[in-house]
Amino acid sequence: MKNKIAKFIGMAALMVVSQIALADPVVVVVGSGSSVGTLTKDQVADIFLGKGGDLVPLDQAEGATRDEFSNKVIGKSATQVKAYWSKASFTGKGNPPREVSGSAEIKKLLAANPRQIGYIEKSAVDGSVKVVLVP
Amino acid sequence: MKRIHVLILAALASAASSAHAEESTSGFSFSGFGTAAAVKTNTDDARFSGGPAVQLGGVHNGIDGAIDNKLGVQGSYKFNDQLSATVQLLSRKGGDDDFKPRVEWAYIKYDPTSDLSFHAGRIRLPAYLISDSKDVGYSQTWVRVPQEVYAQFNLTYVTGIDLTYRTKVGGVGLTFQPLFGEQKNYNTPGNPTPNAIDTKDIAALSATAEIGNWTLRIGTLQTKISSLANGGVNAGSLALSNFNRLAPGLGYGDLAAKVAVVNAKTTFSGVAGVYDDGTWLFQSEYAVRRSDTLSVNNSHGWYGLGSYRIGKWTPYLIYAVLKNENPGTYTDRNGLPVISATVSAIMSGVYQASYTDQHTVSVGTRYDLMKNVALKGQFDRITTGGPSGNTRGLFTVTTPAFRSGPHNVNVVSLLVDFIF
Repeated sequence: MKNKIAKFIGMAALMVVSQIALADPVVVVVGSGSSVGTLTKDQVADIFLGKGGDLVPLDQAEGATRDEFSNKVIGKSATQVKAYWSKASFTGKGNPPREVSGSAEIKKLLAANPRQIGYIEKSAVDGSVKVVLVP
Repeated sequence: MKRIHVLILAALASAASSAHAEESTSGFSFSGFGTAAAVKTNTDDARFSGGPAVQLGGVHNGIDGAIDNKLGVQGSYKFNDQLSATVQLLSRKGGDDDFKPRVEWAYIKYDPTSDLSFHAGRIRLPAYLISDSKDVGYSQTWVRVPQEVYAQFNLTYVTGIDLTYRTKVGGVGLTFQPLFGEQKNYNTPGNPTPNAIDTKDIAALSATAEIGNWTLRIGTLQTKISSLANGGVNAGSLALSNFNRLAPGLGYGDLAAKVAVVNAKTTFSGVAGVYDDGTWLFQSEYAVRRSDTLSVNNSHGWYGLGSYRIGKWTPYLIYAVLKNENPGTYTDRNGLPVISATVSAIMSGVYQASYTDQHTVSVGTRYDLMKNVALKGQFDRITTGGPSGNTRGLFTVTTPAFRSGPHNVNVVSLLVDFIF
């Protein structure tokens, strides 16, 4: 009986741990051939809000990864970022970053162009990219 | 015919099933924004115009969304990473009660570097913090920009050139935007009377500093305005028109010159601060209008906005004030010798007609319904000021009873803002 309870608790604990592991954190990456070193959160936010820097940002399609990136790195909800871009694009100040469907596509584009920057799930990191920010 | 324009716009809008314009190397992009509204006040003694776009029709004690309804469509063609061309059409209620679209913008944008950008053509005038984006309701928390500040400046576009330079100094993002231009025969949207004005020698400069969650902006715009109506006298005022015509013969030509709107130097300046941490938003702005002609009153206004985001809800509070400087009698202001009581009376009527003092307390909320659609509800309590007999605030078509003293007017607005 005691064993069973211990087993149950053990399993429950495992499940909790795996739940945490499942929440795949987002990381900011450039192509492995890029000369960019590490970046600060503010630098990345500026790039993704079109406020300078020579790197060309790639956005993910709407979803959990984009929401997390918006909240953690830009410090605004994805809706607020959309409102920001609606203001910018209708006043001639700039257009939102190119939208790409998923981390695989981001990696493909980053490999082709060292001037681009994107964000992917941590689990998707491989040799084709270099992590420049772990928020 | 005019309805057809609206239909074409609507068709264009619905054809744009693709998402928002986004950055790509070259090609055509299409996007748009709009607002559908229902607005009601609790009085039949005055009409609420909503502010910057003077709509003499206005809304009163009956549901009407026309003051806020609008549809804008924008097409851009990107030649390469440096060069693009953009046209924006905006359809909103005009004075003759139609929604005939007009070209708000048509410009070429050139970005020689990532820090430098030029616009040339028909461009928008960034007089105050969000003068250039005030029609894009989706980008804002509130229902509409506070008229106490934004009604001081009615011009929306200009033919000219501007430059945006962005730099970073020790963690502070700085943006400078000088602008030069002129606009002939500009008609205030929604004004049915022929009030076209020429604005010459427009020179504007704004500087914005961004530090973390803070944004500070100062801006000033100077122009020389000439009214094309009534021989250079402010339109709509018969007293002024008569005075201007008779004054030289009576020996008051110098005064008439001060009343006339001919190359009258006029400046619009403002300072604004924003704190936005993603949850809390505080925004405040102070704006001043100064003019060399007595027909454009000197005024100043400010507002404060506070909002707090809880998930999809963003409830907010606004307080806004507009004050006109007491023009007194012309002798006080111009140091001219005392002239006859008749002329004094005309002048004092002229001055008082320009009283628009008021303040507003607003409470409302934004609700982000869908990724491109926001719903908003706002309640305004507007209190008019100014001297008794001329308390009209920014309301139009007022009755003598309304003007007899300070009044409170409640306005309820429900609207949908969208982008595509």
